[in-house]
Amino acid sequence: MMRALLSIFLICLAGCAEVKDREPLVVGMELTYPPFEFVDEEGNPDGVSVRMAEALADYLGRPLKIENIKFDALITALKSGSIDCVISSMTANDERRKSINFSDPYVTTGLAMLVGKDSDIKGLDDLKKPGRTIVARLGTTGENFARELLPDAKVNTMQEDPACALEVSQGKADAWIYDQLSIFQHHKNHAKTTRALLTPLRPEQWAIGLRKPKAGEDNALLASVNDFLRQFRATGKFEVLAGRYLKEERQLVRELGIPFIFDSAPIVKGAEGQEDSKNARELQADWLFILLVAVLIAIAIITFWRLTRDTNVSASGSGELLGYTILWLLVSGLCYFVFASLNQTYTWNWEGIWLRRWQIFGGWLRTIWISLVALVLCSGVGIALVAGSRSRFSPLRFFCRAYTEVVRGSPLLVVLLVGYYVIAQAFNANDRVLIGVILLALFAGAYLGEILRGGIESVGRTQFESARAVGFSRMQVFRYVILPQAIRRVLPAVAGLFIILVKDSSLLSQIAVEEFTKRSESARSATYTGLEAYIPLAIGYLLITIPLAYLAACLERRFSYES
Amino acid sequence: MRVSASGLHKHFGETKALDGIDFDVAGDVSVLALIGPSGGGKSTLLRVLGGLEIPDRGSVSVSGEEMDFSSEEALLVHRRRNGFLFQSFNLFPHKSALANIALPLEKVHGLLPAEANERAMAALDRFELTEHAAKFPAQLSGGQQQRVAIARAIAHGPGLLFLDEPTSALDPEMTAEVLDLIVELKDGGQDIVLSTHEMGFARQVADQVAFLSGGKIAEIGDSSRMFEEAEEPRLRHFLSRVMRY
Repeated sequence: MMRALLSIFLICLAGCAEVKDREPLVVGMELTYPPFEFVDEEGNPDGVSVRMAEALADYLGRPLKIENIKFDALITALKSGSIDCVISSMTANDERRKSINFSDPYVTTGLAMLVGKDSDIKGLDDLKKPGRTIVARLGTTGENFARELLPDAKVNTMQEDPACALEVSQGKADAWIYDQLSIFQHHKNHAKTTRALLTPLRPEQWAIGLRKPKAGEDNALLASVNDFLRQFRATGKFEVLAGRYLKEERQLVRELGIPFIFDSAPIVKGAEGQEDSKNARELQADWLFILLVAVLIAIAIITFWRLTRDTNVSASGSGELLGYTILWLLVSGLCYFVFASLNQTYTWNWEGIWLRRWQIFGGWLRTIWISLVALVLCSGVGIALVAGSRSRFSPLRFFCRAYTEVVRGSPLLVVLLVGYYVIAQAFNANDRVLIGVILLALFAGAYLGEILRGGIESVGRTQFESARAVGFSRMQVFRYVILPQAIRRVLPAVAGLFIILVKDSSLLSQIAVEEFTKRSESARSATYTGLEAYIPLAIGYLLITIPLAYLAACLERRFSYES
Repeated sequence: MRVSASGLHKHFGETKALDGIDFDVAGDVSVLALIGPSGGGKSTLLRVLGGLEIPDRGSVSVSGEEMDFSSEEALLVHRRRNGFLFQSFNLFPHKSALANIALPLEKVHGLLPAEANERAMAALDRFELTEHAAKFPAQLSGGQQQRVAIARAIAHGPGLLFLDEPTSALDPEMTAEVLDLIVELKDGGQDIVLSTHEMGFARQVADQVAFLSGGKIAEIGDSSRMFEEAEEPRLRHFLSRVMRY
């Protein structure tokens, strides 16, 4: 019996050892880009990249594990070591190469454009005319191309492909710059309103993304992946995949006399050459920026300290100090542990973010003023809703109640998308910042209205009666007696709402408002960084919300009256 | 004082708070006390007289003027001309004692802020509340709060002062301090209509007493006669119960 158990144990051990030996190859991709990577009807990963990943795992003799990760997060996942490589139609360029490694390219394609049916645009030169509006998907090479080569054009970025196509189809943008195949696909969806110009504006190459090895690590995976790609091409497997997934497109481009994406293998330089010189610039110390950020951080730290300081406890001496010390030691210990383990795989690349610091800072400023304007407007909406829901005119009362319930029950993202693409479109309104701010205010106003209503109702009947008894008119009762007391009661909740409003303004990036989150995302996807952009983003929002919370606390003190 | 009512009705659903009130008080009466069991209609009658409640039917005349219940405007003028006090929670908790008095003087009666403050201070002085001027209601005792509230109610020199059970929410000591104040007001020539459960006070201070029961005035007359030779059986029963201990 013992012997049997022992042998089972040994077999298990051996099994574990074997699995450990053949660790799975974890491939990250975003399954939203047919026919390269997508989910089939049964929910299984399918597409060119999936078949490539299978062949690669086979070649390496390791089991395959596919992780479906949003494109934005792929780089962070790769750099932090949770996936081994990325096969997700990723375009290689030198700026991105600073952050991760790329294999040899396996696809050569080009940027094409989608234009309106009756557009006069025929090529790149037409795009350079002043007054053009270009749309691009956020973080794609199409965006980079537009920003670098079309300085006179207005560039709007979108989160999703269909939104880009819609912009052109609705005439809000003159052209969408994106890869050949996508442009072709989306043209088919909007055949009546658009034309596809497939001649490449600039060649682009897709490659497999790999982690940069840390000092002392070997680069064996990169070499094996390149060997695999050579063999895959040599044995004609790419043609097989093209026959299976891209038959129509292959036929079309070959008819147009444009090379098909798998046709050429050599590494194209050229277009990337000009970026080399730009990035070769020395990283300079920007004292103005450093000073500015230091002042902002100092303000945030001071207000944070005053905000969290326990004012009720009068100096209780060393016990409290000891408590703080232990807390800070614990927190910094935890941070150290997390970052130390992250550092084993993560290659930090601050350069790209640093070069875009003013751009990001501009987005930060815009977030502040968007929030401020939305805050003022939303107060107006909230007060109007309260007044309306207390009015004697019953349709108005009904409207206010219904508005509150519907808006409060919908996700902000949906409110923004429907509001911008459907409602504003119907009224021919195009100013996305203005519309975004208004939508944000209308959304938050519904919450504010409810908070105010609760505050006013909590003041109570007796106060209303007393105020009436001393001879106040209806308006005076409200203004001198009810409102001051209601404000005091709702201040904490309103402050919370305003802080949420600041953070929610980040969703305006969905309708291409160039605010803080959007700018940070652009920088992150252009440079293929992850945490290097997320950390400043988090700090940036705290630099707004902490002083705001402090301001609210001061107001609360000013309005307080109970001893 | 001159106060009269005829055929006053006020129903709250099934409850007949006022069920045909008729009375006429005139001449040398400066304090009218409403007594009677709880739910007898005292508060509702006071609120109607004070312009805070609109009766279903009937008419009221105060100081020789017919009240116009159809116009909120006219009721507001009526409320501004007279004073009203509830049994508790009269003061605005977000204002100091002084500001509680000065605010209506300024906003309702159109005094300049400096004048309003001066007048408010004088009202506090009169009731020996000077030291509490800067305090908020939450820092005052119940009796002090009620005295500040009375100071507020008389600061603008009201024609009639309506007090709705001004001491019901207070303990005996505070009750005494508020009752003393009311006596002082009477001696100063202020006409007062009040409802109360303090029978001793009603008997000594009121000139006339009205006994309300079931939404009707069961009996009305000079206080000495009402307490000593009550005719109405319900009043006799009521008095025998409340005066037993």
